[in-house]
Amino acid sequence: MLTVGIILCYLLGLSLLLAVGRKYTLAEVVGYSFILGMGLETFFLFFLDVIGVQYSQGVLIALNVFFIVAICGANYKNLVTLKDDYKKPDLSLKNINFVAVFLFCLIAYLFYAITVKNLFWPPTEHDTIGSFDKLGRIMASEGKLKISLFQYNLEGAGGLYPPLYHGSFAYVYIFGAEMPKIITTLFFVSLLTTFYSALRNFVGSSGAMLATFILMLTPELFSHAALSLGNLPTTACISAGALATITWLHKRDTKYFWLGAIGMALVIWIRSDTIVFTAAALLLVGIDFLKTKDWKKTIIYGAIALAPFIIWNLYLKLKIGAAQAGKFDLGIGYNSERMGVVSAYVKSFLFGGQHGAVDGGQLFGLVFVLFFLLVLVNLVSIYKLGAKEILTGSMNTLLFFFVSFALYFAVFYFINEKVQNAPISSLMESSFKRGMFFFVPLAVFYIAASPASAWAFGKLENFRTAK
Amino acid sequence: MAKQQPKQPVQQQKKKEANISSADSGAFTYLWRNAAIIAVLGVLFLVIFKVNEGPGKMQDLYAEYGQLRQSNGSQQRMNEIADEFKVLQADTGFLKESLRKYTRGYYWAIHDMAGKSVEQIKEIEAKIESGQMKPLTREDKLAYKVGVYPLIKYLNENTPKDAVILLPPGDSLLSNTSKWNFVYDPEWMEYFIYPRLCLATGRESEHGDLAKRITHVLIVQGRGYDKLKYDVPVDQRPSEAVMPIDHPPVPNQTKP
Repeated sequence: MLTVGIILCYLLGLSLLLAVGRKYTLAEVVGYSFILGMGLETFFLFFLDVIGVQYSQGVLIALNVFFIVAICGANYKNLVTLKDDYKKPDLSLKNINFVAVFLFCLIAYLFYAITVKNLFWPPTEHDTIGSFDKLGRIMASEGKLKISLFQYNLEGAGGLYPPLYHGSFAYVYIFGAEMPKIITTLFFVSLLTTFYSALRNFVGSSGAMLATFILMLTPELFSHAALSLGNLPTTACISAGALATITWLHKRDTKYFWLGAIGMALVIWIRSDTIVFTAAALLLVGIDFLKTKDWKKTIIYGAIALAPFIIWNLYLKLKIGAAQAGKFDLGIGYNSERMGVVSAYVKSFLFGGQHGAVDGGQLFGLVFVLFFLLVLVNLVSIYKLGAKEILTGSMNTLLFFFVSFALYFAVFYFINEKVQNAPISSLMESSFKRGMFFFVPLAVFYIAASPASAWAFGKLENFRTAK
Repeated sequence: MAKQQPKQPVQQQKKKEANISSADSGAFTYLWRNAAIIAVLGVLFLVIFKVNEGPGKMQDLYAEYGQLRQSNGSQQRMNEIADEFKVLQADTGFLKESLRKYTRGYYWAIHDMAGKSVEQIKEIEAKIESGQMKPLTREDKLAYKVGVYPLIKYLNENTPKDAVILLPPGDSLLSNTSKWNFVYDPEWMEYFIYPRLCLATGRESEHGDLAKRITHVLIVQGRGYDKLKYDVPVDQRPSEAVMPIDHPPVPNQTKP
């Protein structure tokens, strides 16, 4: 039954994907179908809880079939013409990119290896035992989102998180899974495929595959592909939403507008503190509004992206009876000691240094160092490529990265140590460290798609194809 | 015109041959250029791997040395390890160290996270196939990864599903040792004992309703007997047990 549940999830996502656009690459279909599908499945679980219907395989299958048929029915005219859009790929020798095939083989092997590890061992990490897996298991057994443990404050910290992550655990448990770690693997596939497909809009397949390889192998991120913690799935949602938004602003293809808006909605349907990314996306869309004056799209984007945040906070307040208040201490103002501690950790994460128990080079390898190097290279190449090319070509990615990073920095700078029951150094070494994942796809995207790197990849492609 | 007619097929034939030969040479150029880029990438990956192999090996040697020392193993092997360690330790240099700083994480990801894990899992699977080991269940795997799991299993086997368990205090005696994992943390323990409920020692006042319903006390390292409403003779106190709070346990209770 687990296979049925996963297939239904993909089909549900695919039907929504085809409703918002027509032409997709295989990587886009694989990546977005799961993210959108699981997003919708957890919305189903949420609304079933709100209306008091107990979860069961039957209810979920009926809901899935109904919505797949309804979405496909409404999109019938587009679907019947779909087959005309797809052409058989040309597999002649000169159309095979052997460099990309080589990198794909490396990615496939490493993916296989980490997946074998992931699916073999049950979840044992403290946070998943104390919260996510416990919530998922008990949600499936009690058939509701507000499980009995809330009564005794035994739900764990994740109980206040929006339900996309632990809801996806509950979903696979309802369909008979013994362990929920297939979810980690599926989110990892989605992260890699949506990232690759977004990058393909800007660079050739050799460059996109190399960047995907670098993203995948980011040491700390790669290790999480064998764990059941929420950081990797959150990264997958942020990557899908942010890169679709950036692609829409650049290419003006409407399907990316919808994928960006829905993706950013899922970003705050998986964690509330990731609203810093939604804020950065809204800033980009707001700046775009000043240029296009398209108020309709701006409002739709904002409404979709923010809706889960409002819905979840209402649920917390009205049903759970807990509000996420007091988490921050804005009263500290400018505190040089706090600023010193937070900055020292940030410096070690970004530039590969060592501070406390953090070794930035070991955790994130070359990613952030290359990112800042490319920022410099692009600034220098203004002389060669022109200021307009450099500034318009990558400004949205840079703006998204730096705005969300500044807000994320502020979240930790103002965090209330007493409420968190941990000193700031410990929070920086655990929570902040894992939150750094969220910036990795954006950084690698810039590394590969910035004007200077696109120019270099273009040269490489010319050499490879003997043009 | 008439004279030229027979020449046309020959010319076409030559043109075709020329096209084929140019296509062949084009395909060859295409292939070698692709191969050249792959070779450059391969060499780059190999250099990164080789540069980090030494420090990676040092970790393995360190672990082996520790094991030999604990088990009073072969002194000759320990000397060999010490010598090899010295050689690897001396293998430094500005370029190597700079490269290692940003690439050792990749070595760890590929070699330790991916490679070693697959190796370990394949070994287990081979043992299962050859009958040396029984197939592992989720419980077996949990017991392998979570040190305190046998005690938790014992707790589940000896308490009813509606039990409310008082956990041991999370002071330094328990929290500073990995042996007990998070046995004192009610949010962590609840995962394993659900639908039973639990409560942390010292936090009874936060959950008055639950504190009133405590049915059992989890004894760890001989601590918790003071919470029982009856006396257990000192010489009959096991260091690990789960005891009913109101009355002595029934005699057929299993041992942890």
